[in-house]
This record gives sequence, C-alpha cells and structure tokens, in this order.
Amino acid sequence: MARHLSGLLLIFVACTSSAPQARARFVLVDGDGDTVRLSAPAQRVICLVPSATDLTVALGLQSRLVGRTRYDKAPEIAQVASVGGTIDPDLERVFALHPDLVLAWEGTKGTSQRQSISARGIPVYAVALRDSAALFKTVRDLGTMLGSDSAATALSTSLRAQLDSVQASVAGLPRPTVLFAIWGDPPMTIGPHTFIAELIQIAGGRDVFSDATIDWPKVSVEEIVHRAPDVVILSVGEDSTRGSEALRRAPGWRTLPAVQHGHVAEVPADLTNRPGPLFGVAARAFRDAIHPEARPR
Amino acid sequence: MTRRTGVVLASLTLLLVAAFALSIRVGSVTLDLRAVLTALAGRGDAATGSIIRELRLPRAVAAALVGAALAVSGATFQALLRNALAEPYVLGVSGGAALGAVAAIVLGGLTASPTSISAAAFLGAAASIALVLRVAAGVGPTLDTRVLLLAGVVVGAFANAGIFLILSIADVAAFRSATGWMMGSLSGSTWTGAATLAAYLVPTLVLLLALARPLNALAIGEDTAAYLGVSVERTKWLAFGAASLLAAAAVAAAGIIGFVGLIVPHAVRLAWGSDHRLLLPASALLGATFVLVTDTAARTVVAPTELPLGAVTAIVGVPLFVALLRRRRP
Amino acid sequence: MTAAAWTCEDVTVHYPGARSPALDGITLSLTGGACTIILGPNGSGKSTLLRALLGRVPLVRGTITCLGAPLASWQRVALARAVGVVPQGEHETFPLTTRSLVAMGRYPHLGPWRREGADDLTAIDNAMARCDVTQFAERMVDTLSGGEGQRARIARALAQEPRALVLDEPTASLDLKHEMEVLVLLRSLAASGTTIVLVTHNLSVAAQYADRVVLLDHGSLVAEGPPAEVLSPSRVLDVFGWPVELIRGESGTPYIVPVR
Repeated sequence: MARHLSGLLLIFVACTSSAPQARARFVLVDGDGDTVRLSAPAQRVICLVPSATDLTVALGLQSRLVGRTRYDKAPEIAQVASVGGTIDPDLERVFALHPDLVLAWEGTKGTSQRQSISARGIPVYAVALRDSAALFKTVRDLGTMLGSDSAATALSTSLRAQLDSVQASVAGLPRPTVLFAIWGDPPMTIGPHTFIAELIQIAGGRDVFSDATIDWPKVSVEEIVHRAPDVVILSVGEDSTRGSEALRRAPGWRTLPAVQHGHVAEVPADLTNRPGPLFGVAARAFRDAIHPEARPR
Repeated sequence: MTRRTGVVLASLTLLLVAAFALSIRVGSVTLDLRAVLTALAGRGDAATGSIIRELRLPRAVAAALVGAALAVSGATFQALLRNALAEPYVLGVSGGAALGAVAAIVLGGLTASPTSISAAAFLGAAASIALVLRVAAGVGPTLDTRVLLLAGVVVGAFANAGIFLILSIADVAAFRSATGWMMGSLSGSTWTGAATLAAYLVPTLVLLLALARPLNALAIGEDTAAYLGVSVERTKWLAFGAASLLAAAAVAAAGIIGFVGLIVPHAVRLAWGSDHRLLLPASALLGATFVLVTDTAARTVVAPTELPLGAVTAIVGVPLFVALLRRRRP
Repeated sequence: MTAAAWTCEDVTVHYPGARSPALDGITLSLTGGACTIILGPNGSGKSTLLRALLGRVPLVRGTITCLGAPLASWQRVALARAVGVVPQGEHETFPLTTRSLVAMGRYPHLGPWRREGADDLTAIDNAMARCDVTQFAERMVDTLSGGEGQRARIARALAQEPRALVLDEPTASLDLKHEMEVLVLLRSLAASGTTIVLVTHNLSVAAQYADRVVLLDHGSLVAEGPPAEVLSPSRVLDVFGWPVELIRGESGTPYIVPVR
C-alpha cells in the first residue's frame, strides 16, 4: 500500500512541476529570493526598472530590450517601446511584445500584473538595488541572463575600480559629518541602511542622521541646525528652484556653519535616486563634496 | 463684554500663552526660559538663536494663526449651514487648494517655489469657493444652503479627480512632495508667511465678530433671523466669504489640517454656549492652542522624524471628538 | 377709526413651477389694535399671506403697506422693531438657554457692538414674566415642552416691544390649557393696543377670540369681517367641506361646532 502511494506521489510531483525544469540552462535567485529559470539567454527583455535599464545600456546590451517604462528617457533606447508605468505596466503591450524575460521591481510579486505575467509562463526577475552589494549582484545576474558574462565582468570591474579609487583617496582622512538632504517642508534625509548612506561612507564621511529608524525620514530644520553637519549634500532635480543659492537665504539653513563656509554641494537627483551604472560617478561626486582636498589633480 | 465672557477669554489667552511658551522651549534642544529670552535678545549661542528666532518663533506664530483661522471658519460654517458637522473645507476648499498646490508642484517645474505653491493653493481654494457660490447663486434668488452643500461636495470630488490625474503622471520626487504637502506641515513657516496670515485673520475676525448676533439668529433659521432684523442675504454672503477666506489662507499656509475647525467650536459650545460673541473669540484662542500643541507634538514625539501635522490633528482629534459626542445630552 | 396696520392691494404671489398662484389678487386691510385671525383650509395660502405681509416672499402683482408706509420701503431692522413674529416649526441647531432665546428679541434694538443695557434687560424680564417662562430662564430650550417653548418664542417677540405681533399657528401643538393660556395672553395684548395677526386652522378659536376674521380659499379672499358674519355655516361648508353649526353662547359668543 505504502509503495503504491509513494509511487503515486512521485507521479503526482513529476506532473505538477514545470516541464522545462530539465531544460533550464540558467537558474538564478533574484532580488526577492525567488528562483528564476531561463532555458537560453534572453533576447526579448522588458525592463520595468529604470536603473536596470540603465545597467543594460551600460552593458551594451540594449539591443535585447523590447520594452521599457515611460520614465526611461536615455537616447540609446528611444526606439524601444514603452509599456507604461513601473509597477502597473500596460499588460496588453507587455504580452504583445512577446518577451522572454521581464525585469520587475522587488516586492511586487503580489500585484495582479506580476501574477498575470507569471501565469503566462514568462520568467520574471525581481531587481533589488538596495546597496552596492545588490548592485554588483544585479550586474552579474544581468550578464548571466543576457548571455554576456564578459560585459558584466567588465562593468563590475570598472565600477569596483571607481569605488576603490574613491575609497583610497580618502583613506586615513578624518570623517566629517555629512547631511544628505532633499529640501522640502520638512526636508527629507536618508537612513543608515540606504545606498546613499553607503556612498557617504565610501566617500569618507559620516551620515549625521545615522540614528534614523526609517530609510527616508523627514526631519525638522531645527534638528539639522542642532546637529550642525560639516558638509551638506543637496539633491537637486533638473527643474527645481531649491538649490544651494536659495539655501543660503533660507531661515535656519543660512545659519549652518556648512552653509556659511560654502561646504554645500549640489548633486543631481538622477545620481542618487537609485544605484545604477553611475554609482561610481556618484561616489566621486560625494567625495568631491566631502573631501575636496582629496580630489585628484 | 460681560464679566463671564471676560473671564473665559482671559483664561483661554493664558492657556495659549502657556502653549506658546512650551512650543518655543521644546524641540531638538530643550531650553529654559532664560535661554529663550537670551536668544530672543540676539545674544548667546548662534545656533540656538537661529533655532529660536528663525525657526521656532515664526512657526509657533503661524501655528497659532492657522489654528485660530480654522476654528473661527468652522464655527461660522456651522452656524451658516445650521449643521453641527460643518467644517472649514465643506465648500470644496481643501480640494481646490490641494489641486492648486499639486498642480504647482508636479507641473510647475522651474517655478515651483514654496511661495508659488502657497499662492497656487490659495488660488485653487478661491476658485473652488467662487465656483460653489456661483452654482448656488444661479439656482435661485437667495443663497440656498442645501445647494451650497451639494455644490461643495461636487466641486470637492471634481478637484480630487484632478489631483489623482496629476499625481498619476508625476515622477517619484514630485509625487512625494505633493502628498507631503497634502498631509499638512508648518515646517516651512516664515515671518512673511505669518504676517500674511495675520493680515487675513485679523480683519476677518473683526468682521465676523460684528456679525455675531446675526449669526446667532441665522443658526436658528433664516426666517427667524429676518424677523429679528437681520439682512439675511448680505450676512450670508459676507460670512461665507469671510469663513472661506480664513480656510483658504490656512490651507495655503499649512496644507490640509483637519479636525480643528470641526472639534474646537464644539468644545467651546459644550463648555460655554453658542453665543457667537463668545464662541468666535474663544474658538480662535482654543484653536490656536490646539494647533500649537499638536504641531509641537508633531515635531518632537518621534524626533528627529517629523510627523505630518494633518495626521497628528486627526489622531488627537478623533478620540477627542468621540469623547465630546458622548458628553452631549442623549 | 383706528389706522390700518396692514393694507393689501391686489396682492398676488406665484411660486415658481406652481400651477396656480398661492395668493390671487388679495385686497384687504388689517385693523390696527385688533386681533385678526387668518383662516382657511390647508393650502389656502394662509402662511403665504403672512410671509407676504412680512416681506419674505416676492409679489408678482400688487402692493402692501405696513403701519402707514409701503412695505418695500421698510428696512429689515426697522420692521423688526415694529413687528414681532412667532414663526412655525422653529428648530435651534445648537442648544441655548431660554433667556438667550428671549434676549434675541432685543437684537433689532442693538447694533453689532452694543451690549444689552438696563432697558434691554428689563424688556427681556418683562416679556418672560408676561409669558410665564421666567422659571425656565436657565433651562435649555430643547428641554422645554411644546407649549413652554412656544411661550418662550412669544416672549422673544414681546421682548422686541413691537406694535404688532404676527403668529403662525401658535397653538398647533399645544394642549388645551396651554392653548387657552396663549390665547388669553394674546387677547390681553390686543386690549393694550398691540395689533395681533395670527394664522390658525382652529375655527372655534377663531370664532371666540378674533375681532376680525380673514377667510382664504385656494389663494383667494373669500370673506373678511367679524367672525359671526364671515363664519356662516353655509360658507364654512363651502370652504372647508364639512357642515357646521353656529351656536351662540350666553354672552353672545359664537361657537362653531362640526356636525356629526
């Protein structure tokens, strides 16, 4: 009786597991910790994560992209079709493009869009870009899935070299306190577990709000004045009137020693919205702001 | 002013002064009275002086003015609409203001400074009020209360639709900024902003005080008011205009702060009656105190993080409101 | 001949969207110092006539004068000083004391800033005493019975120290004792020179307490005059649709009694 049952169980398991398992060439664990299986390098990729699109372009593999979000504006992918938003893409367009891989945001497995895509048998890889370790893993995984490990290695090496160079340039130097702020009412800063905090660390600084309990806390100007950071790094968008010039006149801010001594640096928001191929550039920008004396001639 | 009125107002003023003093002393740095006075005089530590003179003081003044404006506006709407659940945003003010501000933040691009966002919010509020009044005035020869309420709901819903539309095309930064504005904050208070608020509040409050007796009568009925000699239509237009102006100015300065305009007049009525000659100034004082205290809490309770003021007034306001409702006679 | 408190000349009121006019060509005059009762079945225009006399409803045709001057020329405040009104179906949104309610009667005499003076306080106290509501002074109006509340509202109108008093169904929800007390009060006011105009649907009351009766039917004036003349059984049957008998009491007071 037990033998029959276990035999039935085996047959049951064999029937219900996905058929292509035996033929999967690549087996990866994505950013959410789920397993992704591909039988061949992906040729038709829809990327819903703008920074992953940037990475794909940096890898030189943008020809594999058949779909992007409407927020991706790089000239290299202007011909690639837009499928709409990042979390809520237009499913009709997604399916009409016949992708063999979809790159999605981490943590979106429960959305109806993701479930529809998975139900069709299309592999989905969740991109996690929380910090530099995740960045390197994503680069490696992209190389694997797109069948170009050499491009991935080249990009990783280059990024690694940039980060190492920045770290070396500030080795041994004292660490000033740094405020990274998105100016608002109230202003927003970053918590210790974000990649921006990591950038500050790499660039030889110390995050002045390292005791924050959430990743993007809103803090009072009063608290900023009280903590008197040595350096202020201001995130500015391309269309903002809130730059360092206005900061010099703002109540509270203008009495900061950092502001009065000109230790305020503007960094484009694109560099710090998410880690991507410009991570090294961001690290250099941070280093130049925190340790201008360490800038190579 | 009767003696009773004088005593009540004096007590509320003392309470406001205490809340003001607390708000100035408390924050990322807690200061005693002497340190505050030193900072006010311009001496002492530069950082502390900046905190007191440039940040806490204008913010406290703005908080008091916003609270007073919202409470007086709420009391007036409750009388005009003869409805205990009326509040400052009932004629679509919050929807219009939010639409203006969100549009400025998301679409304004290069021109979206705090001043222009505030101005856009005010314009949005004014536009929605004008629309509501226009709709109501077009229905009949007199300003019909029920039509006003309906028009307010409709205009508010329309504004909300506009807000969602604009938010759907916003990028992450603009989205965050827009929703942050809507949750209410006094963080960006400046002396100029406070002075503007005062310029709106003081004459409007005086006007409404002059209309105190007509408002008492209108709270019973329009016929009753007319038979007691009130110029009903003129009073309604003036009072609606004044109350809407107060709501618009408050929203432009601080975003959407709820519950103040609803609860404070109720509390005053429960304690001291519905005569607007006392109700209006008492609501102003108590509203100022309420917002001062909740704003202080918003920036100190989970320091260094600042909580949105609109959320704190709701969290504090809801249980207070329930308690107030229970105290009424069944 | 005492001067007319109100005169109406071809007064016509037509509510928008209504098929027929609410008031059609009413011409009458209400004697000053008398108690005039306006009668008629439901929908006859009684309340509309009151509102017209008080300038609260626009006229399609005709003119009204009040206390010697065209109604249109009266300022609201001045009219309120001369005419006290007790409307029907009043409901206070927020609780207030009886004294506060009665005190509102002084509003037409006070500007926006002036506090109630000794004269005002006396008028309020007298009004409350006259209407026997002094013992309720500090009680909330919504805790009073129907009759007590009505008396409080009459006190408010009296506090205005008016020359005329206009009441819309003042005894509609009152029990016998309270109804009679109100009517006795009104008669004594009339006796001291105040013009009383009141609307009721109670024929017996009208017959006994009115100096003059105005009978309306479907917006038109049917008859006007002393009760015994106006309220003949044939006319009552015609207007109200029910047969009645007119009985003379001992002092000659007419009683209208519906026939079973």
